[in-house]
Amino acid sequence: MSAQHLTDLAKKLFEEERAIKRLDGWFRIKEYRRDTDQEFAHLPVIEKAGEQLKIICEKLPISISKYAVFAGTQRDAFASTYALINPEFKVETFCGYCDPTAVYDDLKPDEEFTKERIENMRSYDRTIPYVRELTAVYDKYEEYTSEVAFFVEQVTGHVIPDMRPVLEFGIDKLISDIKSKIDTDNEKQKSTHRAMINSLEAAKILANRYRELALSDAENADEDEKERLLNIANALGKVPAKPAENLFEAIQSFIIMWQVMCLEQAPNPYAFSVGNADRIFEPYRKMTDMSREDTAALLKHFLVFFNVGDRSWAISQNLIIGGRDKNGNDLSNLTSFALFDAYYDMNLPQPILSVKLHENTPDEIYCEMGRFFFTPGVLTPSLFNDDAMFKVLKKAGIEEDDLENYMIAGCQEPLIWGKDSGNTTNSWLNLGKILELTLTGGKSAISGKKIGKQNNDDAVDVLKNIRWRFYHNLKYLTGKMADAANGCSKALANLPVPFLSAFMGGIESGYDCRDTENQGTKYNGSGCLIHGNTVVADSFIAIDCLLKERPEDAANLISAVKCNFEGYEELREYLLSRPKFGNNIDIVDKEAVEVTSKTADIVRSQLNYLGNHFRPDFSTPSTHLLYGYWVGALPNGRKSREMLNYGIDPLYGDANLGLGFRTLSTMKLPFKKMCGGCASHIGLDPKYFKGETYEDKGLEFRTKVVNPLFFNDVYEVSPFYVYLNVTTPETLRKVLENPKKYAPNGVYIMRIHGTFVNFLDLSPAIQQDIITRLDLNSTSVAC
Amino acid sequence: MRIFEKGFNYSQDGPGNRLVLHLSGCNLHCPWCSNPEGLFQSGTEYSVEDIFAEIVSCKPMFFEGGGVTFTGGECTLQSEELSILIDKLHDEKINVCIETNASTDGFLSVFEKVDYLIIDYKCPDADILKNITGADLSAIEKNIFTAIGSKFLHIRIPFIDGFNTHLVDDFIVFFEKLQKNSSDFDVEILPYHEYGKVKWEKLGQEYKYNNGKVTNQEIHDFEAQLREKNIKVRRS
Repeated sequence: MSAQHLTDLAKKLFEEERAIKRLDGWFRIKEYRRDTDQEFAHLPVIEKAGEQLKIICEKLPISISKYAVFAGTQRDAFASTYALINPEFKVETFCGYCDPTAVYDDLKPDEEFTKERIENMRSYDRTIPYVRELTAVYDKYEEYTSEVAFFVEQVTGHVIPDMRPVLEFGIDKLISDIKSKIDTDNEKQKSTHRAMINSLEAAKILANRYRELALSDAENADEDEKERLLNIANALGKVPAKPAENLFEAIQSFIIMWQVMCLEQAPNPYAFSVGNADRIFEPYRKMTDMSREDTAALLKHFLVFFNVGDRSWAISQNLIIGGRDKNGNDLSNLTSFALFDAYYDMNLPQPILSVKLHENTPDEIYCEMGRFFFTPGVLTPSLFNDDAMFKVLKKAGIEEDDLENYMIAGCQEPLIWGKDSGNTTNSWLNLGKILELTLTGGKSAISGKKIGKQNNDDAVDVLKNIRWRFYHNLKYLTGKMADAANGCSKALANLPVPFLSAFMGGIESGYDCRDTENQGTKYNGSGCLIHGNTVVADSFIAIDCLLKERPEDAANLISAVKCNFEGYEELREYLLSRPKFGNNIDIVDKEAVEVTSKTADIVRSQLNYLGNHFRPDFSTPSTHLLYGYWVGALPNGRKSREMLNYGIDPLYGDANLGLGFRTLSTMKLPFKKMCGGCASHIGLDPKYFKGETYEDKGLEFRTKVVNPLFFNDVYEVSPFYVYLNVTTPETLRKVLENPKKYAPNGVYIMRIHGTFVNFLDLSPAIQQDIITRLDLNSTSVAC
Repeated sequence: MRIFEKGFNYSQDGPGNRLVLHLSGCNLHCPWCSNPEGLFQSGTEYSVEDIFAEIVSCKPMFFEGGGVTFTGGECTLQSEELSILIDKLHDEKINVCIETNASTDGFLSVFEKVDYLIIDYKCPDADILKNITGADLSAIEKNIFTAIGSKFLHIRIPFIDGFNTHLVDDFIVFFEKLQKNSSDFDVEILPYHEYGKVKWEKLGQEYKYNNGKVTNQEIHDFEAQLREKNIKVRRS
């Protein structure tokens, strides 16, 4: 089949997928599990999971699209749920509670899935140990989560399985390896290994069903279609049971494995990530010396696989290109460039593209990226700095040989490929709310509710000792948060994942990667997403200024923030005019370093269910809006319910001297302590780039943006992550006003936090946030 | 030292990425000025030490041979402090550029110290220059002739209809004279713009210059004439 024909099919396949409005496979899976719970009740829970996965793979209705060159879909693992791409989503609807049965609201009743059938399933779900335990955790910590002093959740998805052994050796070999271990296993390991064998068998079952379907469809197909279907059938006659021997088989094998992994965690296992796809597939491309063009054509189908339904609901699945080894050698290859070609030509909302950079990254990578950054409406890669990331991870305890295998789960969280269960979104800490509660003596300025420790101390005394009080409060609430987060992880352990665990080191360890008593993966930790570091730093400095410059007004500050500065407008203007992070003003930048550093230490000191440390992650995936909504006015002059700063960035509007000063402030932050990750967004006006070709602009982008930010040797560890949108607010407004003109195919890709999305799919609140946070004053290049 | 604006730009006011500091005060009164804050004593007073510390803190951004550029207003009006500051910056191996109208006494005490020199040569007609901007052409030309040969000169001409577009031949005559001393200079033609108009209004001042726009053809023709005489032309 020609590359052009493959491309045409991939585009039609995506179109077909986008026309799918209803996702109900996940509901069938829920029912299959319920209907067999009794049958397998005698088994350890992990063995039950393995058996049930086999049943799911035996019973789930399957089909092969007339445009597909590979069999397999993720469609049955996802519901139409994810808030940010749901047009109904509103910032104010966040309620600090993660109800695992709320997903049933996302299935519209029809003749087959009646309301009664849905409600029966929901009622049953409420009785299972996982839901009961999780609900108990939320009930216990509701005081803190309802206005998001912190938030906690169970973490599904969000890891990077290493599927390479399946491609290289095949499932049969893995099963044989597992069997050889069972004799020396303890009872728990025996159960886990048995469950893994069954779950791997499930993949073979599914593969075989697709093979039979392809053969049967081929019987009545015309010549072209027959060839396509027989190719699928032939591949599935080998993989994933046996090793792949060319790129086609490798991709087919990978797709089946990925599908089963998602089915195991249905519904909504967001943010599984592929890892370095170039490293996965290059050996198989090389086996037949396939050209870049033909490789790209096949990879286009691979990319379409990550798009589910009308809004690409399987969000935050990350795919990486490039990077270095521990000696600094570049690891990109021809498949890296074929992936760029495939991404550019398809321009799909998923999977997210990340590019790892380092000092020896070849010019060609920057040249390739030029067309992504400078073509309006085309996806842009997230950028990671390997040189810095290696240092961060090494300090966090990652072994030297594992460093090159850090991958990105979800948006920006670094995890080690197939070895790291990081529970990345387990906990979420709201420094803005904690500062508010510190100022008010524990009484919410939003609702008046009492939250945390209470006091009625003198206002001026509170301000004079604001740092001590804040950190004291922070320690207390972080402890509560860790307890709650661990409760969520323990609840989730009721749903073991033997299939996934087989690609997370579970074959060697004999333990499930969700096991809370025995560590199944080489590395383990729990994530904490920290919100509002620079807002708090700005607030501390504003308080200092007030005490020093206008001591007579100090007593009014707390009253002013309690009433959202109503009647204190002049005081607010004064506070707004005090130094703000992001302008290379040493006093406030140092404060931001201090806030970030101390908070990271406090978070890091918390231990999870296995006694491993929490991982500070300074990222706020649109939650700077959601959590900001629950934070009253703050001493930096920010008004009640307004957004917090995004990730580690200055608060919108506060950095107005341009990219140079903003970069100088940013690079001072203690990146070495951000082992859970961090987030930073730069909105750039394309007019600053003068190169005549995309390639020239890509190199110019390296010179003006990447090198100063990533490869400056001034500080021990440079920033290691940034994502960009190269556009202007005016352009985006035009796209919204006239989508048919600016996005004729209905897709205009923008980035929100680590993921990219179709701008037109977003809820209005998030669309406006993107426009607001372009914040071009903070990134202007000429003065 | 008094500074009214700061920011970074790339390769516009000297080589590489540069911190550009606008020093307050100007001895001229060009009606098209795009930084009119500099005409008035606006801005903030800093000690030499404070500015030095800030510039040093910006070192990570001086990539591609960048550094700091002092402009204005007219930066050489603060030549005494500027001179001390430049010495300190050189101790830190920071590349220094000034952008100047070359009409002040202070010019002579500063220009030799800088690594890169940008001079505005606005008009070769003494009367027009004096009337419109208040500048003394003879002083400017004397300073330029003093500076030429000691280092590379980047000469800028604000090309403005109704002010100097009819004087192309005179410009050429001047540059030919200069060339006899040294060809170590280039010329950049800056077309008239009105980016500063809003700033004038914000300052409560009337923006008095209108209709100064020039066409691309006029610029092209001027550049062509310069090239004909082997005068180097720059576009940034």
